[in-house]
Amino acid sequence: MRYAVEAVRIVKKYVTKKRKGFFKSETEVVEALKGISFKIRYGEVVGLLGPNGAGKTTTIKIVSTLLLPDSGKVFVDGVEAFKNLSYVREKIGIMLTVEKGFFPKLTGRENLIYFGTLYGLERKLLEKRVNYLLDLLELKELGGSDKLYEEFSLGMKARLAFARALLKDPPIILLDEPTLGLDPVSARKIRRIVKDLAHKEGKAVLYTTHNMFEAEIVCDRILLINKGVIVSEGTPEELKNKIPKLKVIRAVLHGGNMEKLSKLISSSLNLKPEIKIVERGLEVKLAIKNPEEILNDLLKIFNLANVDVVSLNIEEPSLEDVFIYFAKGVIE
Amino acid sequence: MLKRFISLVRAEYMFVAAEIIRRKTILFALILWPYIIMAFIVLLGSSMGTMSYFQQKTGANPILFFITGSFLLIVSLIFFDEISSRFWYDEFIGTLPYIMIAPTSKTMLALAMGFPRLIINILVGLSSLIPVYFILKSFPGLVEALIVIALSIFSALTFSTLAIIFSSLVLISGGGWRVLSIIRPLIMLISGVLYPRFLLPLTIKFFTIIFPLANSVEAIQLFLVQEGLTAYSLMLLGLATALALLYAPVSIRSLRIWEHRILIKGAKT
Ligand SMILES: Nc1ncnc2c1ncn2[C@@H]1O[C@H](COP(=O)(O)OP(=O)(O)O)[C@@H](O)[C@H]1O
Ligand SMILES: [Mg+2]
Repeated sequence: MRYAVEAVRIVKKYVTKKRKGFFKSETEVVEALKGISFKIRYGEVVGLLGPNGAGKTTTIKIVSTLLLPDSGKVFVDGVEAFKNLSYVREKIGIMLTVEKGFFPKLTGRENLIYFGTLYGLERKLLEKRVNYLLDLLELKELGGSDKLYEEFSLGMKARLAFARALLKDPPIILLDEPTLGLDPVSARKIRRIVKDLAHKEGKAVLYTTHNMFEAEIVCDRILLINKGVIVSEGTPEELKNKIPKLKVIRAVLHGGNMEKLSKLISSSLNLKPEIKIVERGLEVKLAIKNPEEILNDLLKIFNLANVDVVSLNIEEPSLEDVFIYFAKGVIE
Repeated sequence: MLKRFISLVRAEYMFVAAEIIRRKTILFALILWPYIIMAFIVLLGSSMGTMSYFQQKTGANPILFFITGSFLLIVSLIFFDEISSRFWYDEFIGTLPYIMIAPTSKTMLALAMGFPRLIINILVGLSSLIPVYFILKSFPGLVEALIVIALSIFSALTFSTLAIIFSSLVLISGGGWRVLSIIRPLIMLISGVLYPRFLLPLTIKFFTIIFPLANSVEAIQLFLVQEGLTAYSLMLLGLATALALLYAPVSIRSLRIWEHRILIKGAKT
């Protein structure tokens, strides 16, 4: 089977020189990627989920042939990327940031025409395609076709950047945090199109985000990345199942003292609760294998602490729980 | 290939036109530029001697010589200025990664970047050279002005490949404006636009032979002095063309080296 993208043990170190005094300078080496490997099939959205500095942007740049890795190989559409630059560059569309990367004094339409020409699209076809994309992303309605880029809102800038990634109608699409900081309407629009492109048109999409909620709703498969290492991967469902049979008790309490409650629970149940202040009072979260067994004791403790229980639920772990679980495994 | 090139020029023209029309200061500068340069050259020239001394020494009308020189200077430096500043600007505003990733030869793109300004400068030339030539020489002056404009464009083209090499040096050095402000005066000096080459000592003159711009500029200056093209000046133009072709493979390589540097460093987003 030919994969859309196949990355094999990619390593990338950044070397930066820091000035220390007038003559001395110190070199600092950041190992952004420590030998990551992954595969992306056609027809699926693969999420690269990780916190800031995890190595997401570095990965996108390497896969798109914008950055040479120190070692490891990238295959795009079955072809070794850095040995066949023009073949690979024909196959991919890319979006690197939401907020820049266009000419401020050109309109939305002119910007797309410029990059489309650069990408080798024939004029008539290009004009049609630009029209289609301006429509698809509702940039026409927002007045973005004929407004200068410098007057765009962030949502419009992101839509235009996304449209540019689709100009060539490429089979492989690489998106680096395409909804970062966007208004919900723009974010939803982009997510919906991404899913359609993969599921209806068979495109391969690599989608980076640090937002777990987003990864869960957009991606078919998720690669969890932290500090340059892919710590786990699977469908959102699979990732949840990888946490060994844990359930989460979530109780919202009224009244009571955070510290006292924490002490009481850890001393009598031998569990470490996660407690935070929420709108309606205190939220207590407990990750545990058999929640039914301690439920009675827990209620007794709440009674002892003199708090009212506003709500109490036993839940499946969210992706956030999964992420915290795996991230801890790497950090510690 | 030619079709591809023309479409790139068209896209670049859209960019340049928008920059000029939508940025008022640039539009203003474009119109004033030839006059500013001329004032600069005249000032520099008069510090070396009087106008009549010039006429006596070179045999050319100083006013004609300087307005032509200023036009020639602007046109000759177009490729160098455009290429080094455009890619630098692209890095600054974040368009560079999207340009690098385009399956387009960067040399072809670099050449395309020069053409819009070349076209605009023909218009500037028509509005600044023609009136002066006409006043001083009446109708024959018109024809002469058109030939001078055509020769200036030709000289810019013969310099284009070496200009790409110089631009690559500026880009690879990463020094931006600082490096640009060192290389630019050097080019001006060697080109002979500021100080006619036929007045230079033989040793320096010999050194400028490998510099295509210096040859075509001398041909234009001789055209002004002798009021026509001689076999010698045609040979100079031929030499400039041959040198341009000779530098072409090097220019392609030099831009590739810059591309590779960016590949290692990672294009800024
Ligand atoms: N150009 C660079 N020079 C030096 N260090 C860099 C550079 N780009 C990224 N890094 C470092 O590499 C690591 C990964 O960065 P990045 O890939 O941008 O992460 P992410 O996109 O997940 O936030 C970070 O520690 C970051 O500081
Ligand atoms: Mg990033």
